[in-house]
Amino acid sequence: AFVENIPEIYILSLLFFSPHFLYLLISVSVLTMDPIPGLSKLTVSSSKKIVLNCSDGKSFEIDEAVARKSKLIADMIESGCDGPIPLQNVTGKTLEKVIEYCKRHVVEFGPSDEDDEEAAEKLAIWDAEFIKVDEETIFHLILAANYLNIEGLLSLTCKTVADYIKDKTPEEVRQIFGIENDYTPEEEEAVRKENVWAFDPNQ
Amino acid sequence: MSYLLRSDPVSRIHPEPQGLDDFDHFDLLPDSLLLLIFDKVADVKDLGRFCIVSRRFHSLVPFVENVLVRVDCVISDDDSSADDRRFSLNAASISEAGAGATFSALFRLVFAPIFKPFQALGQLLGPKRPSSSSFDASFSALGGEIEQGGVTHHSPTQVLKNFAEIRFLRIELPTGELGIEDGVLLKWRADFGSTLDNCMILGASSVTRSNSNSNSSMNLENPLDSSGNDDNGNIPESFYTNGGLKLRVVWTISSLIAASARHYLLQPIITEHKTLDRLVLSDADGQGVLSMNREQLEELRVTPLSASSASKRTLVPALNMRLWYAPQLDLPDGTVLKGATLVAIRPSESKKEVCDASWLADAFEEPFGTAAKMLIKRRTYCLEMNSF
Repeated sequence: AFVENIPEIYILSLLFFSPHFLYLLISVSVLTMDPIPGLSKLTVSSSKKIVLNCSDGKSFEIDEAVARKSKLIADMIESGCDGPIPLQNVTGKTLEKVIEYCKRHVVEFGPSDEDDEEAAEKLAIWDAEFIKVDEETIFHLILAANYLNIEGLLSLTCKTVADYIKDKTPEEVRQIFGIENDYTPEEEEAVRKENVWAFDPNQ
Repeated sequence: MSYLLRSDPVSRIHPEPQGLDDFDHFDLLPDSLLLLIFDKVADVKDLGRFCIVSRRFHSLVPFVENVLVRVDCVISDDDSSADDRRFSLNAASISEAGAGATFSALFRLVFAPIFKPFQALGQLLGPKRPSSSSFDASFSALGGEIEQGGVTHHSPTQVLKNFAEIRFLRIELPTGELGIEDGVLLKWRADFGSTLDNCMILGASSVTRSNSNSNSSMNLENPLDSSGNDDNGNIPESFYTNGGLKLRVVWTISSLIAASARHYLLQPIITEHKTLDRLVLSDADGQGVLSMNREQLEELRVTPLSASSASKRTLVPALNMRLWYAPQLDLPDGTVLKGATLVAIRPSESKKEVCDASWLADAFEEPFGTAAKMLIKRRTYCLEMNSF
């Protein structure tokens, strides 16, 4: 009796698994054909969309791969968060910029080594253009990148601010960023003496 | 440390900023992010200036973890004349040594009159000055501050004493110590613990760069065989007689002296900054790089270095050296090195693992990294050197 049932089981299991089998077949053929580099990667991983809700009510729907650039969001996805993700610390305007960055940085490297250097160069040029924003936006981007835990964006924004302030005199730094000088003249003189090596004699 | 948001514009001392709103954007950032920005600024002079900006900046600067010190000028402790401060290392100036001379005798004979390393890296930091005037005077005193021509100089130790939590310190000298002629290549990379761990020296008696692409395609196929030379990697006989070997020995010894002198001078900084993970002492010419990682720094704190008796540098232990030579090396990017030599040095008593391949990959920047990899495939010659 056992032997007679095998063909039925066999057919049943084939029927049961066939949709998956077909899906696998199609994915495999897409992967092996690979008409456009990176396309196979996209078709397999970008099927899921994530919704992000900002502090000012705006909503953004993005691919999961893009969302995962943020370690905060990636961790939330890992721990089973399914619905829209609330981001109270980020406004819509800032998040839009952040998403633009993440989208560009998702497919980072080409399939072969020779493309790596060129791709990296192109990315650097894109980054330089991307970060040409006003002062307020940069600071909001720093905060957003920190909150969302996006290492590349945090590094880029901090480096930009650093490059901007590094060659300025203290007065210029205060003026540009609206920082208040809370030293008394005597205190300032004392600190200046302490760090006299940092100043050119004719300043 | 509490921090209050200041919103009262009346209390501002400085004039209104032009064109931008009054809001202090740095107020938005917590201290940790401001420190991240300071880490990226890194340059110790810029950070010193930031101390003046506000109390908040002043309180955060000591916690910067990544610091770069760009040294403006080096003042020598020598009492020799200013003209002889740097000496060239060409073969013509080497006096003939007897055939049976050991390396240490060769060193004494050849070296002492030719090369004097900078004795006092202690007097280093000052305001920016044109490089031509940086080797004018000589001093015998070593201290925190030195007056020179009305300008006060400060040592890196002094400058760094405000920083309590440095993890990654880079010090950049204005120039390499070794005076070499134009067209000659000499680069060294050394790792030190409490003594020399590892050193790689890459040299060539001439470097010519070309941008032609036709060369590169040809050379990719025959990296070793150039200009019809002996292809099995052997050193030609002429190398021993035309001063080639002597020149390489001088390169090796002078690089080791420069490296050990740098190491010696770093000791006060290392003792004071216990949070250091990594220390790199390089120069703007890209000639020599001395680096120490966390283990090596700990080793130096635990086992103090042995100083050489004659000069202010660390004692170099007895060494095993491996040398590779190519009469001509055509690199893929078109650069041609003549008389290319790679020397890999480690102490004879070293118990540490030999890991040349990985070290080589990072040791020299391109195109010289490729040159090193090509050289290492050739025949290896072994030498030994006494401690000095």
